[in-house]
This record gives sequence, C-alpha cells and structure tokens, in this order.
Amino acid sequence: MDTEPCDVAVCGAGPAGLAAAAVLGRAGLDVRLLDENPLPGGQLLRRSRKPTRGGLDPARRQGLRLAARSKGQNFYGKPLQRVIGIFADGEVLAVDAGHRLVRLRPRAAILATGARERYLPFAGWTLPGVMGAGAAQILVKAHGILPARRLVVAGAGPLLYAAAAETAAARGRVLAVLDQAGWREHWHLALALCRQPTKMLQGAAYLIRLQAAGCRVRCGWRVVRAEGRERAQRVVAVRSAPRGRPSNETMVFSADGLAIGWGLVPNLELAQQAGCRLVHDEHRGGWVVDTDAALQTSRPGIFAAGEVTGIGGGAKALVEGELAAFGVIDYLGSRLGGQVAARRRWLNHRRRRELSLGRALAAVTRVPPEALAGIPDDTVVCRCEDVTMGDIRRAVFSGADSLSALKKTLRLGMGICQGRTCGPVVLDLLALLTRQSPATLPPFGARAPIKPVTLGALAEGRSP
Amino acid sequence: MKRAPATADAVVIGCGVIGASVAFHLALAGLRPVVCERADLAAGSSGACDGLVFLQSKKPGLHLHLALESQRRLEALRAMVPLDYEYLRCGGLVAIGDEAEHEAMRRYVAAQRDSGLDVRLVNGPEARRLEPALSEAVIAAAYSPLDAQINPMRLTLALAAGARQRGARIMPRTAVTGFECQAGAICAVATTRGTIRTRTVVLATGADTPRLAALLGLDPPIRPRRGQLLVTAPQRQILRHCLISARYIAVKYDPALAARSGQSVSMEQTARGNLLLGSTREFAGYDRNTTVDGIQAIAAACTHIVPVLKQVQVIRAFAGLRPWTPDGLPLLGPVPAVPGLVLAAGHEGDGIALSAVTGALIAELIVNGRPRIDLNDFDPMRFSAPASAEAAANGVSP
Amino acid sequence: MNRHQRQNSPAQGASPRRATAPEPAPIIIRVNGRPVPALEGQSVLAALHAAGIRTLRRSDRHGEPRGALCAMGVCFECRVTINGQPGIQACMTEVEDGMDIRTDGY
Ligand SMILES: Cc1cc2nc3c(=O)[nH]c(=O)nc-3n(C[C@H](O)[C@H](O)[C@H](O)COP(=O)(O)OP(=O)(O)OC[C@H]3O[C@@H](n4cnc5c(N)ncnc54)[C@H](O)[C@@H]3O)c2cc1C
Ligand SMILES: Cc1cc2nc3c(=O)[nH]c(=O)nc-3n(C[C@H](O)[C@H](O)[C@H](O)COP(=O)(O)OP(=O)(O)OC[C@H]3O[C@@H](n4cnc5c(N)ncnc54)[C@H](O)[C@@H]3O)c2cc1C
Ligand code: FES
Repeated sequence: MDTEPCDVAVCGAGPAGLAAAAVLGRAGLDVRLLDENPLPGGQLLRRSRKPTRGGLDPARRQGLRLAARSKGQNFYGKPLQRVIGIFADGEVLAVDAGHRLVRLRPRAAILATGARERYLPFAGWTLPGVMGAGAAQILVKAHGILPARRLVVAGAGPLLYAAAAETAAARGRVLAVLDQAGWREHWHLALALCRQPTKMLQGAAYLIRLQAAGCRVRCGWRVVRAEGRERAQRVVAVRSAPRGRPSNETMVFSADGLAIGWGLVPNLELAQQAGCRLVHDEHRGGWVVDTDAALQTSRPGIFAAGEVTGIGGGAKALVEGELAAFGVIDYLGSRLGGQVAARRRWLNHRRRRELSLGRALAAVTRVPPEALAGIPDDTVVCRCEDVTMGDIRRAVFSGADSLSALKKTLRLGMGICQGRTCGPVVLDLLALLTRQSPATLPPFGARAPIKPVTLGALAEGRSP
Repeated sequence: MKRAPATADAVVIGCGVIGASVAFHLALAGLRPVVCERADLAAGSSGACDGLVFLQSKKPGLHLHLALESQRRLEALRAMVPLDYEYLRCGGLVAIGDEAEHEAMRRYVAAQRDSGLDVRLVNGPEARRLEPALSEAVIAAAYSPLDAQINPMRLTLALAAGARQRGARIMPRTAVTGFECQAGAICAVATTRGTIRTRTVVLATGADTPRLAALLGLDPPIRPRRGQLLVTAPQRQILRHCLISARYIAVKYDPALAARSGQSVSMEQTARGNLLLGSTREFAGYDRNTTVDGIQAIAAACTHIVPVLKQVQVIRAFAGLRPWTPDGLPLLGPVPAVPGLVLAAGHEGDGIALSAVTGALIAELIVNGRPRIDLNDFDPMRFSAPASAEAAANGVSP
Repeated sequence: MNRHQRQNSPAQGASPRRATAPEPAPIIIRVNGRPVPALEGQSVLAALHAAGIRTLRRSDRHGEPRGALCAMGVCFECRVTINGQPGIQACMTEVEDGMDIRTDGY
C-alpha cells in the first residue's frame, strides 16, 4: 500500500487538535485529523452521541462547537485512527478500527495527543472495580452508566470532584471524596482560579452538588487499601500525617467502586518515538515536549499543542492548537492574513495565563514522598508484568539507578501498556529511592508501534 | 558523580554481552578489571537482539566448533552467576521455502554433520509435527535438538553481576574518550569520570569499535549492520522451537541465494511468552531507527511461515546494530601495532551465542599470554594482510 | 453475570442535562455465549459495565482478576476477545449488534 500525501497530519482530535485543524482548514490546507476515539473532542468533551450544550466551561463550549463543525468538514478523516508512529522519513503510520494501516506523508504534523491520569499504586488497586476518576467520568458522561453503586473517589486534583459530582448528578451514590492535598495546596489553586471565574464557579457547583448528595469531602486523606475477593468491596483510607506526625486515623467504606487519580501526565509516546526532545518542568507536570515559541518541536515540521507541552487544561489546549496551526502555516510557507500577528500576541498572552493555572494544578496533585515511601513491598506497581514495590526496592538496592536499568532487570514497563501506567510513578519512586532529581531521570522511551497492532495488519498487502 | 579508579589490572571498554563476559572471565582468573560503559549495561546491540544460541547457523568448521564450545560454557555458567538468564535448549528449525533453498540446505547440513553437529533434514509434514504452527509454505526443515535460546539482556546483566561479585568494577554512564600511550604501548584510558592507568585494554565496543579504534589510528573493518526486530505481547505457547528461515543462512553465507528478494526471518518465544520476530540486515550507518518497510517485511515473512501470528499484536519494534565484519567472523586478539590493546568485537549476528567462549579465550590470552584455542582465524589484522583477500571475497559485501 | 444487569442499568440515559435527543437503538451482544443488551454507540466496556461485569480478564502471570482502569485506551487492562480476535481494548471499541465477546482471556 502506498503512502498518501497531504499537507498536515494532526494527531489527536482533542481541543488542541480540533482548534489546529480548524485554522489549517480555513487556510486551505489538506488536513488529516487522526484520533483513536470514535468521536472527536478528546478528554475535555468526552461526550455521548447525544447533543450537549457544554455547561459553564467556555473551553468546553468552544470545543463542542469545533467538534460539531469538524464533522461536516472534509478534513476530519474517519474516526478510530490510531497513530502508531512517525518515522524518520516523515511518514505517519496509523491503524484503523478494522486493523488496516493508514499511511500518510504529510509536509508537517501536529502532535496533540493530550494527557492521561497518573495513578499511585496501593494494596488492592488491581482489583476490578478500582478505576481511574477519568474512567468513572467517561462512564457517566459519555455512556450514562454509573461507575458503581457505592463509589469512593480518592487521589488528588480537581478531576476527582468532577467525577464525583457528575456521578452524583446521574443519581449515583458517592460516599466520599478523599483528597490527598491539604488545605494549603488548595489555597494556591483557589488563588490561581480567582483569575478564571468560570472555573471557580464550576468548582463551587461541584462542591454544592456533592454536599447536597450527602457525600463526605475530606482533604488530607489518602487511600491505602482496596479489599475484596474478585472485585473491590471495601476501601480503607488514612489521614495523612500532618507535618510529619504519624496518624492512625482511618476510615473504612463499604464500596463496590473506587475512582482514583493523582492529576495528569502528558502522552509523550508519539513525540518520543518521533524523536522530539523533551524537557523537564515540574510546574508543567514533569517531562513535556520541548518546543520553541511557535510550538515547533526539536524535529523540524513537527509541532506540539495541548497537554503534551505541559498540563494546563482545555483552554490552554485550544489556544495552543491555534498557535501551532499558525506555526505550521508559517513553516509551510503559506501566507498568513493581516490580523494574525495581533491574534498571535493575544493567544500568547492567554497561554501564559493558562500555564499559571497548570502550575497550581501541579502543586495540588504532587504526590508527597511519604505516600510513595509508604507503598508496601507486596503491592503491584507494574500491572502488565506484575512487578511489585519490593522488586523495585531490591533492584535499586543492588544498583539499578535508572528506568532503563529497572526495565532490563525487572521487565518493568515492558508489558503491553509499555510503561504508560507505571512509568510516571516509577520515575518519582526512583528519584526518591536513589536521591536523584527527577529532571536527571529520563522517562521510558517509546518506539513504533507506540500502541499494539496486529501482525496481520502490518503484513497486509505485502509479499513475504 | 563517582570517579573512576586511578589504576586497573585491565580496562574493558563496553558492557555489552562481550565486555561483560570478558570482565567475568578476567575476574574469575583473579584480575580486577574495570568496565567502562558509555550508557547502561546492554545499551548496545546486546540489548536489541534475539537470544538465539543457534548452532545450525554457524559456518561448518572453526566457527561451529567455537559455538559448540560456547554453548557448553553457557550451560555451565548458569551456576556461577547470580541471575537466571532463561537459557532453554528448545531445539531449532530452519524452515525451507522452496527447492533452491532445499538444495542449498542439503549441502549445508551435510557439511555441518561432518563438523560434528547433530542435525538432520525433515520433510514438510514432519516439520509440522515438530512445530504445529508452521504453514504449508514450509516444504522441509533442518532440525537440531541442540539449538537453544537465552535472554540476552539478562545474560549481559548476569555476567556483569558475576564479574562484580568477583571483584570487577562495572561503571555505567562512563564513556571512554581517549587513550594515552607510552612508547607506542597503551598506558592509560581517559574517561568521562577520570583517567585510569592500565597496561591492558579490551575493546568490546561492538559496532562502535571503529570509532574508538580511530582514536588510536586504527580502522578495523567492522561496520554497523542494522537489524530491526518486532516484539509481540506475551502469548501462550505458539512455538516450541526457535526458528529461522533458510534464507537467513543464505543471507549470511550464500551470496547467490541472498541476492533473491525476500526477508529472512528468525522467531523465538521467550520465557515470558513474548515472541521476538526478526530481523532485517541493512547497512544504514549508525541509524538505529526502525522503518515502515522493515517492520512490514518482517510481519509479512513471519505470518507467511506461521499464519496464527496474524492475530498476534506487536507491542514494539526496535533496531540494533550488529558489528559486521567482511568474513562474518569476529576480531579477537591483540593488535601488534598498539601493545596492550586487545580486540573482542565484530560478532555480527552471533555475539550472544559466542559470548561465553569469547570471554574465556580473551581472558586466557590476557592472563596466560595465549588462549587454549588457536585464535589465528580471528586475528584482528587478517584483513590488512594479503592472505585475507580470499576470506574477504567470501563475505557478503555491503 | 446476567443477574446484575437489570439492577445496574437504571442510570443509562439518566443524565439530567439532555432530554431532546433520540434514544440510541438497543442491540444485543454476546458475552461468553450469553446475550447481553447494549446501546448503539456504547463502548464494549460500558456495555459490560452496565451488565455488572467487572472482571474482563486474568493477569497472565498470577491469574488475578483484572478490570478496566483508565477507560481511555492507555492501560490495556480491559483486553477482551472480540469476534475471535484476542487483545482488543473494550474501552476503545464500540459495540455492534451480535458482537461476540469473551472475557476469559489473559
Ligand atoms: C480522564 C480525563 C478527564 C478530564 N476531564 C476534564 C474536565 O472535566 N474538564 C477539563 O477542563 N479538563 C479535563 N481534562 C483535562 C484535559 O486534558 C484538557 O482539558 C484537554 O482535553 C486537553 O486537550 P488536548 O487536546 O491537549 O488533549 P485531549 O483532550 O486529551 O485529546 C487528545 C486526543 O488525542 C487522541 N490521541 C492520543 N494519542 C493518539 C494516537 N496515538 N493516535 C490517535 N489519537 C490519539 C486521544 O484519543 C484524544 O482524543 C481531563 C483529562 C483527562 C485525562
Ligand atoms: C536484530 C538483531 C538480532 C540478533 N540476534 C542474535 C541472536 O539471535 N544470537 C546471537 O548470538 N546474536 C544475535 N545478534 C548479535 C548480537 O546482538 C551481537 O553480536 C552482540 O550483542 C554484540 O555484543 P557486543 O558486546 O560486542 O556489542 P554491544 O552489545 O553493542 O556492546 C558494545 C557496548 O560498548 C559501548 N560503548 C561504545 N562506545 C563506548 C565508549 N566510547 N565508551 C564506553 N562504552 C562504549 C556501547 O554503549 C555498548 O553497550 C543480533 C543482533 C541484532 C541487531
Ligand atoms: S481500560 Fe485502560 S485501556 Fe481500556
């Protein structure tokens, strides 16, 4: 099968990718928008097929408008196209839902692969019924299904409240929201939100809804154990030690569902595989794609937008999508209209504002060292290869001091998810155990295919 | 940052499987070598390869003899290192796809039997009885019960750990940047963690060897030959044996057969259940990227021979750089022009299989002045002497 | 597993925000040979979840039960066999009428 030429491949149809594609489409370029989900919109929209208005959040409303429009425009390719690699010669390789390869040769590409949740391992977190807060949100929001009959939500970050409130709104029973961050961290977030009244309102609405639904909201608590045979039946949480003092205050919930999450980490695999340089910035969520002011990565012609350049939310993603599109238009030598310079200035200004929100988010979702240090030896950390905390401690003790060394000794991160789930937290663990700065520890590498693809798909149409 | 020691009995450069094995055997003999590795252990070819200890693919004669000796040692070494390297004598099949290959394999197998290898030709149905997953496209096979597989990364780590237990110092993330000589002989090695004074340096830098040798004004004819490899998700048992296609042997030794189109394949199922499917043989400089073309070629060739693989998912692909030499044999031994310098590199596609014997022989050379097996055929200088012309001509040229 | 499905389904479509849209069409999928109702446009994961099915596979090393974690294509814990093809992510696949799903993989 031959490669199909086009102007721009936009990888990811979240807010960033949608915003970019809209600008590029208006500039008359041949754009392919590729996303592995059945519907455009990314994590911000995560809507069902039924029309929704988007509620309070302006970013979500704008995203919805873009998503609705993208369907009518011919540049929105078929859905369910998973990009599995961008090769040295510029070829973008994707695979569709029917296990067929899609081969594009664009003149430029935008990486808008978004973010995923960060999970902290604890005893019993592999039990069915323990799921990401995002997963709970997707079940209620996109599918109208309750994540559990009795749900506990635990971890850190605003997503917990969104998941809990949306479950409560669908008349689900939410027993508690256990936020690991204390009031101090929340105070910083509240300050940052002062400049974003709609987000503030949204947060308040969540809290009011949870209060009304009889859900306990507790800060400074963390989940230590999920128990049950075959599936989660009980959740045990302890109060975090205030200022180092030990605490033995515990709460036990009888719950069949536990939604967890400790903030977001960017989906860097495509950028890494493509050979784009990363930088470490703890205010933007750790390792992120390095870009110049026009959002071009270290690889010429490849741009990045949205969560991959730093966790900052939907509004930042929309702004960056547009900026990256302008960058691409410049790069391709197409002409930009007259008002673009002013628009770019305004977008850059917005971007800085949203980045400061990201900084506050990073602070509330930071996992404190004692939470990492307290993971028991028999807890599974790498779920694909069943590597435990004890395995990691022993390997570090006998000299493994990098992710790649841990990988070679323990097979950690070598399973089918390729370290996506455990990688971010193992990096924190390694930094803690070896007293290295996280900035000196490179994350797991990524290689094509960045997500699994059948040999049949790869072999099709090719003589042996 | 930890500093390098000021002096060492010997400095081994590179901690791939060869460097680790040399260090292990030196330490076993009572020396305290220092191993300098630019990146992590097994960061080079030894961490980006299959783990076949395939005897059938070795050239009848000394090459095969060495491989048999190496296999014996790999079996014995298991008890001497602190890490299991998943050695499994699973037996191996060479899948034959057409009459031309069959004819070539008849001759090849006869020569191997003469060299003392337990190997025989089986017809298609018998091949499928041995390996039920094989397709009808396989018309015959060569079978040897001796072929084995290993986890190459763990082998490297195990040898390094065994060396460390016996007094070797292994220094990852320590690159060698230069050499100091006195009256033409090596007297020190400069590294990114300081200079180490030593009189013996072993260059075990695989495909990178020409780059280091260039610092001493040498140009050993080792070139990187890229091999791309696919890894699948863990599966229940699909393959009972390790498997290569006859074309693989052809590509290695028979230029006429090699010239025909088609991808040679090697397949093995690891202890964990992942299948390793390889591999291309390309001259692409030091580029370790995979290519769409390479990935597709491997997928097509493997699913042709083992059709159930069509449903199996590939979870990653990578490329390693085999240290190629013109005659397919490694460069082992001293370099007379630079006293103190010993080469242990250029194993191309056999470094894992030959690791144990290479380490043992190099250690014997350093400790006793001469190894038990005559290394003449592997003389690093053989390509600069006129006598080597024939050997070079026999090799596959780039 | 069929036991749960009626008890757990009232939330389907119960989100208060929307009222006007046409209801998605009900379809039937087969899970380990048994019929399970689903709605067009749902992910396989959502359909299984609504039917009370949480264990989607067993960990291949120790045989422990595993279910969906991320629901967004990242963790690969939701692998099921669909129409004979093993290793398909339930969360990233939309249901189709008559789809044959098995949760006894590893
Ligand atoms: C679970 C979750 C819930 C969230 N909920 C909220 C919320 O309620 N409110 C809020 O403001 N923010 C929320 N966020 C934050 C969210 O990341 C941003 O608001 C915003 O969606 C970021 O936009 P983006 O375009 O950068 O990335 P995303 O919206 O994440 O979009 C990235 C898109 O790329 C696709 N993709 C990734 N890799 C590939 C590939 N290899 N091939 C093809 N497609 C690919 C993904 O399927 C996705 O559609 C949530 C994030 C997560 C992870
Ligand atoms: C796809 C593929 C499949 C293969 N399959 C098999 C097989 O089935 N069986 C088999 O026997 N063989 C196989 N091989 C061949 C085998 O991998 C090699 O022969 C073997 O790994 C070579 O080992 P080495 O130690 O010489 O080189 P390497 O493993 O490459 O080690 C050299 C080391 O030197 C280091 N180094 C380089 N420069 C410096 C410096 N300046 N300072 C310090 N350190 C430095 C490098 O970082 C590297 O770690 C395969 C190879 C490939 C690519
Ligand atoms: S639940 Fe994580 S990939 Fe489907």
